Amino acid sequence: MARSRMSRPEPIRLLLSDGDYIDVKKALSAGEREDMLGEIAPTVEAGAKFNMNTKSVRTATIAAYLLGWSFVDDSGKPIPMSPDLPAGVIRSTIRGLNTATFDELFDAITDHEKAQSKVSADEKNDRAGAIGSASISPSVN
Amino acid sequence: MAVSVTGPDAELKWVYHRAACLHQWQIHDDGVSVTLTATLDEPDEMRLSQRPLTFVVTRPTGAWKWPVQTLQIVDKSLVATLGPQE
Repeated sequence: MARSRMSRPEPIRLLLSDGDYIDVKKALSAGEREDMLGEIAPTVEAGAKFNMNTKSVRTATIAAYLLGWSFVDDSGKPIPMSPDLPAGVIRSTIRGLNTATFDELFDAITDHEKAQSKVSADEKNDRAGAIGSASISPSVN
Repeated sequence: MAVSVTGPDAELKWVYHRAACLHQWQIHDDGVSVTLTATLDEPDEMRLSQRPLTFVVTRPTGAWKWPVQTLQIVDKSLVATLGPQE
């Protein structure tokens, strides 16, 4: 059976310190990845050195993956976080976190991204193996 | 006993993606089935074609959510049957 090449949205919960958590996308769709790369390197000229907007790399990565969280403000009120919020609100909320929390979020998402990349690579290798096996012609001797 | 609930704004979601904004929505529960009617706005055709879809009403303390079982869209009018509230 042909496999679907569409990205299926799937949320995953990542546990943080002190009982907090973040909900993130299991994987980005092509469009979401394009948007994230557009934030990091908005203009790339052909043949020119690839210049990243380093100020935005971590914020853009967190914003691309983040779906929600358990964070509350000083009065214990939940801090809104949703991919449906305006991009500027998401960005300013992330930038308003204390540095330790920001770093913890980025590290958790980076670890998740690496783990998903490994899963994708393993699946690709499995498929390549299956295709290779199927293409072997039966012996005619 | 039949029950109806109305509201100004809501959403249809494909998992965490917004598939459409809904306005002037009404849910009617006649004890046998739950029917949603609403005016459709900003529809994303690809996302609307996906499943599962969820009808989401954002509330100050969270959200009301119902799974969409059937969906009919004619121009900007939407009629859907909903499963039990999540």
